[in-house]
Amino acid sequence: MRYVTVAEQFSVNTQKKIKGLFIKALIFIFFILSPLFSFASIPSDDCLGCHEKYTGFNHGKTQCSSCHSDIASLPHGEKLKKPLCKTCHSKTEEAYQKSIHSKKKMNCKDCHDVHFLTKDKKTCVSCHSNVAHKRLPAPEKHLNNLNCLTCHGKPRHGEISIEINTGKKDIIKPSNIDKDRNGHIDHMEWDNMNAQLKREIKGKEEIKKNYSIKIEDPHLITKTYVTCKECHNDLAIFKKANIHIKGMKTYSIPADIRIFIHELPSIENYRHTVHGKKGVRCLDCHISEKKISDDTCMKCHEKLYSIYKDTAHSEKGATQCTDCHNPHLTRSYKELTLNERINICVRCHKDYINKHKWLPNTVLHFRYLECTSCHSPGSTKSMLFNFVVRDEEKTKPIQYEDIKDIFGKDLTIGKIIDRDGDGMVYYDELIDFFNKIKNRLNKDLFIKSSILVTNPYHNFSQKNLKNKVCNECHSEDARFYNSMLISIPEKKGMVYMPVKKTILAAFPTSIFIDMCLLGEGKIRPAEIRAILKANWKDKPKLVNELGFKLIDFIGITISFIILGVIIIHIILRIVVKK
Amino acid sequence: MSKIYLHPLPVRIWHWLNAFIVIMLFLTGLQLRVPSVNIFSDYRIVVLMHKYFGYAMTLSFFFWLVYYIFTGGLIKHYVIGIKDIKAMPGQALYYAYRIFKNEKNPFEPAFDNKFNPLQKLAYASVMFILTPIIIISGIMFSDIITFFSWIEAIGGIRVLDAIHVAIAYIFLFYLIIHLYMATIGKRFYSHIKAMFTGFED
Repeated sequence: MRYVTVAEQFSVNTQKKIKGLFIKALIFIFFILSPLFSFASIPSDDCLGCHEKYTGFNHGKTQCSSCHSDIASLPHGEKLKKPLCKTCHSKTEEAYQKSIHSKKKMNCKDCHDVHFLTKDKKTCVSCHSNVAHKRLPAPEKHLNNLNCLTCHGKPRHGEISIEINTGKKDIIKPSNIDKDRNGHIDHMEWDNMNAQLKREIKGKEEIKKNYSIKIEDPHLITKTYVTCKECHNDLAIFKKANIHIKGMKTYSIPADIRIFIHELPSIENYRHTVHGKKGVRCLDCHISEKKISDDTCMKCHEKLYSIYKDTAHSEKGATQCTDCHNPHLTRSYKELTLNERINICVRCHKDYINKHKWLPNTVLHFRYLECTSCHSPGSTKSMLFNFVVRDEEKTKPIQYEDIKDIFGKDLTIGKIIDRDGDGMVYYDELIDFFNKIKNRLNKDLFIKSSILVTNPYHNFSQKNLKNKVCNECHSEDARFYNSMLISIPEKKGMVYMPVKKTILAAFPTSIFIDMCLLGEGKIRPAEIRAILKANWKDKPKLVNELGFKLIDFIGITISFIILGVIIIHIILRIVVKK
Repeated sequence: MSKIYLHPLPVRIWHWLNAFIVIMLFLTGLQLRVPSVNIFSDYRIVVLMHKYFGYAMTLSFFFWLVYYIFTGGLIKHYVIGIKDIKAMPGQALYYAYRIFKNEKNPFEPAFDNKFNPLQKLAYASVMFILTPIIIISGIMFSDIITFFSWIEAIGGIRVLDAIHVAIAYIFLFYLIIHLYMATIGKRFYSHIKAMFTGFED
């Protein structure tokens, strides 16, 4: 170890002291000389003595000599250099160079009065007044809500904020608009809220929609403008929507952006629709510039239309095929989720939750049923199971692309689930398959159950079902128990495969966490007899299939044993007493 | 023959009210589980009845809890001590054998100690374990959407249903035994009469 000697220590200390003194001296000199530096620029008041017209000039905190920097003393020479904006505004200049205005040889002064920035401020309309926007669909809607830069500038991020003023009444509360309580308003909930406003304050509410947008640089305006697709299909500009409800109290709640920006048909998407896949070409329907009517659809769907044309929907003339079905977005009903199915009806029948208040647990019912589950008696209803992945409170059905790599390419998923190949999925087959993909996907996977139409019939006019008894569904004789299907994502699309009813009650059922219907079914003596008669080898499987129904068996058996013991007790008391 | 004052008026009122609620819950619950048993005509009403009688049972349970906490009866009547455990075999033997020989009940009820050790065991497990569980599971059923994350945590609606129904069956066993035991007093109506008048012969 080396020790520092006293002499060495002394020299290090002195060096430090000298360094400190030098810095202090520099600071001192700077302070002494600082007034001289400020006197070097000429005060603006001196300039205004001659250039009176610039009295009251305004350009931030600048002085005349900040821009007219070649003036060293007064009076100044006659020829002065032209001040350059980019000396200070270099970034803006850089952006502006790329803009169409720069290419048209316009300069800063054409829009900005550099001496009086706030006076006669020019906007887009100062030059481009009355632009027709002929090619823009729904011009009024677009032009009233959006500013020029939303489409013609380089927008970075936009937000839609909806302000709903209900006056002094507290009609809308988060708990009664966010029906599924996921902290997010979707299309159905928005429609329902509007229906509620209409009913309770007769539309006297004020709804302000504000489309605010952040622009990269307002000077960067190019010839290319934002396309419809960027905004409507890719959601590249407006990414968030918030609803602010102002009544007695103020609430804010995020909403689905799709409520306010609808998706546009695109050739790209069209190829994936049912029409696209079946090779229907644009010109097959668009034979003239006229809007397509039911006649166009009837050319192919004549049989279906013959059912539909006599129903209440058609007779009232209020609905055409295209009112419910968007021919450019048409997907097979097998691909439609429960909410998407409800959404079709809710576009007109907005007040559906309140119309169903007679039904206990209204909102809960709509988690499992679509409108046509009840209102279209002619269609086939099934209990349908879907593999879904939950991601931040949103559920998404699993697609073929998500699981194709798990089992190797070009395999039929149905054959993998149905191991014994008998065309029926049993509880153990399903649980095996479920666990396999859950482990591989490493996601919050579960099976969503619902009671949906699996073979539509185009008469949806059955009304006043209030008189119908609950036991049409809440009974073991409910028709959908004879048609229990699992929806399997295959390469060609969703495919239904029948499942055995026992999967509902079988142990363990944690994959059907959301399904348990009241009155689903009781244990039958035949089932008990089957277990008793079966070989010891098969017994565990049969017991497992009975699953939760065993509770009733055990409960009833014990009750009878207790009754038996009591009867023996009574008899003994009487006999022994005698 | 001396009479012992066993059941104060609030307890008697609570007992019969609770009995009515429990019976209604059994009947509505039975129809909910097996819809073909047609006790009440409208299934929709049965759903609502079961729900509101469930709320009534919750209130009744809290009335019982608060009443016994304030009167101090909770510890006196329901907490099982070492003495009770020691007396359990004797009490069981009485019900299983000695009762036939008309021997005397080893337990003498008193106002401060009205339950024998086996009764204590039965009532304490019903009031402290079974009732709270069935109430909590019932409340979770009353608003499935709100409690969904809890329901999910215990394994889903079917597991919740299994818990609720399993406890209901235990209540049924309890009810059968309770009704029979109510008839084995000095006379077959002695205990039942006491629950009306408060006095046990």
